Amino acid sequence: MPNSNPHNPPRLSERLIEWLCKEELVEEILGNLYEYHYLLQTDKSQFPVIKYWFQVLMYLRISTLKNLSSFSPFSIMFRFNLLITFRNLWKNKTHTVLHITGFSLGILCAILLYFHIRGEMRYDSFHADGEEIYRVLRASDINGDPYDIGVTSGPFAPALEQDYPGQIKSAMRVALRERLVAYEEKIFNEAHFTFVDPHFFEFFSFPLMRGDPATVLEQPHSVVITQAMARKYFGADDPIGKVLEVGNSRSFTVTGVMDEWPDKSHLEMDFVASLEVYAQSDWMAGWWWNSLVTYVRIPSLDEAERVEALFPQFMEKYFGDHFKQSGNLIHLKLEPLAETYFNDATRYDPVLHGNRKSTYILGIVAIAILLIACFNYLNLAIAASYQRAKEVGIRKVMGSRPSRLVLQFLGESLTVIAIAVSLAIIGSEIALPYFNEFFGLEVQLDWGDPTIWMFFAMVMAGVVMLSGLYPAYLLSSFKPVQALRGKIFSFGRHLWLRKGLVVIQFVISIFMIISTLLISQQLRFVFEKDLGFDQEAVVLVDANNSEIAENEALFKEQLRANPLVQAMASMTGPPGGFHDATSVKITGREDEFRLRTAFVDEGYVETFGMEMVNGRNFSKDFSTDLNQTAILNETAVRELGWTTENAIGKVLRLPMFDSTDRRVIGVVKDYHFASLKDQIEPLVIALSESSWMYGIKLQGGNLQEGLAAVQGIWETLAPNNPFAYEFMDDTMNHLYAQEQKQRRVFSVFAGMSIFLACLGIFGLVFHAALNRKKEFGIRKVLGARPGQILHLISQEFLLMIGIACLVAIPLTWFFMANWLEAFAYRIALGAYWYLFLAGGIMAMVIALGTITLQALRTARANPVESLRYE
Amino acid sequence: MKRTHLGEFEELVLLMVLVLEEDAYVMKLKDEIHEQIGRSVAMGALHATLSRLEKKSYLESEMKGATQERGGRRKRVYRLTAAGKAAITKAREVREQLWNQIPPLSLEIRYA
Repeated sequence: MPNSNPHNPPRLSERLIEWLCKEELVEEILGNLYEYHYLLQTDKSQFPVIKYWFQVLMYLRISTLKNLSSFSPFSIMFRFNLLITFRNLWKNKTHTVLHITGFSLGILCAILLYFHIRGEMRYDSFHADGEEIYRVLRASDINGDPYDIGVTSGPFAPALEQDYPGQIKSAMRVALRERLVAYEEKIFNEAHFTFVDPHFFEFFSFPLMRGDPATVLEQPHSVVITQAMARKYFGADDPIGKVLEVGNSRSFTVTGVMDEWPDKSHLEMDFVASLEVYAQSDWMAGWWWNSLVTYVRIPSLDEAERVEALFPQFMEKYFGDHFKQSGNLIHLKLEPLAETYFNDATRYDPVLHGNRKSTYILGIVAIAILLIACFNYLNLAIAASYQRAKEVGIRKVMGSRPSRLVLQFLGESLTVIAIAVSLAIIGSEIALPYFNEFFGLEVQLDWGDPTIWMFFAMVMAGVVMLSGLYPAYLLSSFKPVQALRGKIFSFGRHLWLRKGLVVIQFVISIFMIISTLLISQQLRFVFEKDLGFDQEAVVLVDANNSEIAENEALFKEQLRANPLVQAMASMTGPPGGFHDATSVKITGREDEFRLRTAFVDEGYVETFGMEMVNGRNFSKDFSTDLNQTAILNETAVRELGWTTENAIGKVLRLPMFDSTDRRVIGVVKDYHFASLKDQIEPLVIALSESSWMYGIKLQGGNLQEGLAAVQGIWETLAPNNPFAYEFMDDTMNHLYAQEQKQRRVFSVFAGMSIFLACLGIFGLVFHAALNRKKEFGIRKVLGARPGQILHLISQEFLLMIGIACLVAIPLTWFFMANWLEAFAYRIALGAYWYLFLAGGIMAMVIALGTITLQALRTARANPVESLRYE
Repeated sequence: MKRTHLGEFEELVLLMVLVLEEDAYVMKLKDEIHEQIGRSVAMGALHATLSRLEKKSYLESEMKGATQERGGRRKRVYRLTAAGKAAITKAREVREQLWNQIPPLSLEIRYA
């Protein structure tokens, strides 16, 4: 919410009162509302938001509203027209409710989606001269496919600054880490603890509430925190000067507090500490310790292109020897900051990413909802105008000029739409907290954004024009005698417009239904696809400290001896996690081949339940296994042009790691070691004694006990480090969290658009039945049965749905085929032909259901009711 | 067309203004009516009734007493005029007169 103090009533309500109420009353009304709001807050009563807004709306009545200079003739006419408008709305209650709720629901969804999408598009947009900032990526390829890496190492930044002095203004290193933070008795594991170069707050424009951007990180042991962290650790105390214990060995003094960020950022940071403390560390000096993100500022685009063109020399200068030895060739490239958030194809990237395609899809959903709402409105307005023929006729007889009539209809339209839009705005304020909570989002409504008002103005102007002008033209142009004689329905030549609108509406509805079904099928396919390894009951434990590293052999031995542990493995990264890429030299081949790597121990294959297609697993019984053997996956074997049979015994070398050759001893069945969105790449698995992570498979059914046992062993061997674990199921869910979230947002709003489409169909049928009431009455008198009348009215709609299907199905096919291309593993559209059929049938069933309900009522009615007014 | 008799709600409001003495303003009135009679009234509706009564010169009002929980805004405090007091006394007399005329039996019928 925009106002920070929860005790203050919503600003919107206060503005509303100030705008609309008499000036002399504003003070007391606002006072009363303020007091009421305060009371609701302190009372903790139910539905405070709804109760409060009820009181606000009830205050808007004739005795409190501003007068419209009451005596001018315009105002009399205006009042009269307004009165007629409200009478008409009241007279046709079903119609009014359909109109207003449908339209405002559509606008409400559009508002929420707009602000959600706007938030996504505005990531990192608040930095001063942000277009100067680039991220440095390392780029290579895996046998033809691009392979960009987000992380770089410590020496890059100073070397870039030094080698391109006139061109690169400054460079910045950001290391995103996890740290254990303690203050007095409060200890938390912080997921967003960041180490940066001291000029960070000048390089980026993250606002500071306390502290000077130029000097805040000058001292080596200084840290800047967010307001939330200040509250979490220090409560109401002044955070400046407080000392935080970080990790087990360092302490940092708080020197600044960050303000709320104007927009979100791809850098998730709760703590920003000076990187100076690691200046002497090995990992900061080594070119191959790729563990941080490097940014540079380059004043112009041309300059950036020139610098990028010079990067091959830069890499040659620092990596030349290594390239020669390993056969690896790595380039550098610059990624503009504005593209960082959506560039989710980079590997090993610790920063936050969004998916551009999904955001666009949501935009399309928003537009579809808006279109459906507008079409509903137009269709209903036009349908309803036929009911007004007599009123218009009498007005004309009494001497009303066409311009007055046009004004009347436009005014009515405007009133209804203004009510609907106001309801949508208030509704979005009410719905926002629930929306954010349900979808796990942090959308903010910003009514100061001119685009949203332009959007309202455009929608209102467009819909008012279309919905008011057509009936105005239609009704004001016909001859009053005809209208009074009831001949209005002979306007056959205008029917194509209405029917066209209905068909378009059905097209959108059918499109939404089919694509919703297909998208959920695809997402289910992705989630339920066999990953090729077993993640059940596997616990991942970080080997991130020297204590456990020293005791590793003992740790493994004790775990493997424990009956609650089924298997365990150490590794560089679990399936779904880190797998480095490297070049291999194959004996007997000249060309270079690139592979992903996994360095593991003997327990790996068993722990994750992988399947050996041929050959054997690593074994402790062969002492040469450690340095002289390797296992390949099926993809690697296939891409090297071998078969699983003849691959065994082939010789290869990993020049980056080894000085001796390795012999292939086994082939493992393909499993998804990276995201399911990517194709499985060639992989080599080798033994290694150094490990970064343990995977421990517990006995099923005894997870809690098993976990406690592992923790017990950890605590005896690494007593000074907290036992940090994660179940692999959770890790995998995390990997696909973004997709899950999108799936949820998409299905809810797609459902909403389907609902609105049904509402529109309902309204149309309602009016179609109403307009032909007399015809049905006469038919009944002449002996028609209800079934025949039903047949008559549904025939027309079935034809329209048929045409809509013909348009919608190819359109959906084209669109979905395009969308599916983003997935490496996707459903075949042809296999799901029945979903296309289902979409059409569903639309038909909904329409027929409504028709049956509505038409039966008309058809069953006593014909006297409909005929007696003649 | 000026009515002289009091409506049921108007009577209730006038009485409540008397009950609350120096503290009769919209928010408080709404609260008291809810508390004592259990009837939920919108503040807007109360405002309309109060200004109608003021127009009939049964009530007079004055802005005063800004407090913290009102966000520093003053409130409009209502007081009965002589005419207001006369009207409410009249209303009470009419009712009592009618009550006195009811034969005792017709009340007991409810329990029969």
